[in-house]
Amino acid sequence: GVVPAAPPSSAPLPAPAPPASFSEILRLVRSGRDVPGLHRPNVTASLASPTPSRLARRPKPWEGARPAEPPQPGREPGGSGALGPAPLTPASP
Amino acid sequence: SGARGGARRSQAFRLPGRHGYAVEFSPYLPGRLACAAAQYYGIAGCGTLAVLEQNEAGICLFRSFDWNDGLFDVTWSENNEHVLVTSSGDGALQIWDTAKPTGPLQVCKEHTQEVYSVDWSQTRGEQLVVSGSWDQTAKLWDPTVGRSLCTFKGHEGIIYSTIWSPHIPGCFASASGDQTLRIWDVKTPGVKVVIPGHQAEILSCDWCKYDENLLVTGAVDCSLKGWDLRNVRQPVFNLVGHTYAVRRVKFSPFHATLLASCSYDFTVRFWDFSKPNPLLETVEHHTEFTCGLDLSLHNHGQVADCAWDELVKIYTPSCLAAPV
Repeated sequence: GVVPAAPPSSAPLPAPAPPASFSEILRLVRSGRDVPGLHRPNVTASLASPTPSRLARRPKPWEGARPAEPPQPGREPGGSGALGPAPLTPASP
Repeated sequence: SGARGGARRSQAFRLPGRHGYAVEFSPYLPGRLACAAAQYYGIAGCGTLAVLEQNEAGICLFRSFDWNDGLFDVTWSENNEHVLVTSSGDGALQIWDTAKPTGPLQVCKEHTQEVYSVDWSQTRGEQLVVSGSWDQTAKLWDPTVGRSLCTFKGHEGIIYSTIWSPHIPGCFASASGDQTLRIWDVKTPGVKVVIPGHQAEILSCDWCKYDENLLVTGAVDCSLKGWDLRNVRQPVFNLVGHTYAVRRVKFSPFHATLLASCSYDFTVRFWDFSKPNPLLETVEHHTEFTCGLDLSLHNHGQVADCAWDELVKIYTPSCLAAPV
């Protein structure tokens, strides 16, 4: 087998240990210094369509145990509604 | 007052080198939990969305996704079990598909500063997303459209939280560094109600699931206050106990008067505001700021939280363990 070579004389100096504390990170960033160990990926959108859903929406616990209803255009609030009588529906995009 | 508990059946998952900001249980899958996290406390570096799977044996990583900047919030789709949305330090929203590991489906970048909050509408008739930003605006999104539908201006400080009403379609609340809680409706760009809730920054808000007029705020003054929209001049309850800022508040999905809160004091607390001694339990199982908190919609009494100690925890506190 190959005898491992001695390390090159131009081996890089060890990197400083990553700082542990919040204020230390803040100090480094504010003084424009590099933060060791930063991970900077370059992620972009795929613009793919979402995987089709196969599960039915579950009712929330506060909606009770009745089966899912078809979407309502706008809920009629009860008499104690504080925001006025008109149902709130979003403006169409 | 209030029991000091280690929680029952507590499980933990570590995200090495990541500081957790938010957790949310899937509305479709009982064991599934999303965690939005950032490298270096969100000050520098990337973000990670961790999708976790929990069962009796423990918590494992289903999938993780990296983003170019810290992630501060996460919300699951209400019409597709694979889809979730995160918000980030570079002013963007990302739409992810847990079945597509290669990266986000879509990126929506309009906010000019960090987006601290994102929420998918809870009411049946519409599929809308609201975001809240340090740029002092909230934005409304249709997740199938790449541009925002509307921008809501009025806050005079950082928006920390934007939460849809679970009952009133098109209605959301926002909590801000300007010390107000504001109520908005998507038909009107101007605010509907302004509540000067605290003499300190308000970091979180939530709606009662069983009273459409009731909200809670959590603030830097360490308190939680309840607000009835029919009379906002004084709070209907004031919950004290946390010793540092309240970072997130959540009303119980199962009980009208139960709430949970997490704090920079490292604890999670559980409250029943109908009781003379409302603090039910304090859970101390983190060693850093506790920022994320959610209550399971499926497993009664189950709670998830995350903190800057790199840990996500899923547990059932004693005070929530007995079913009604």
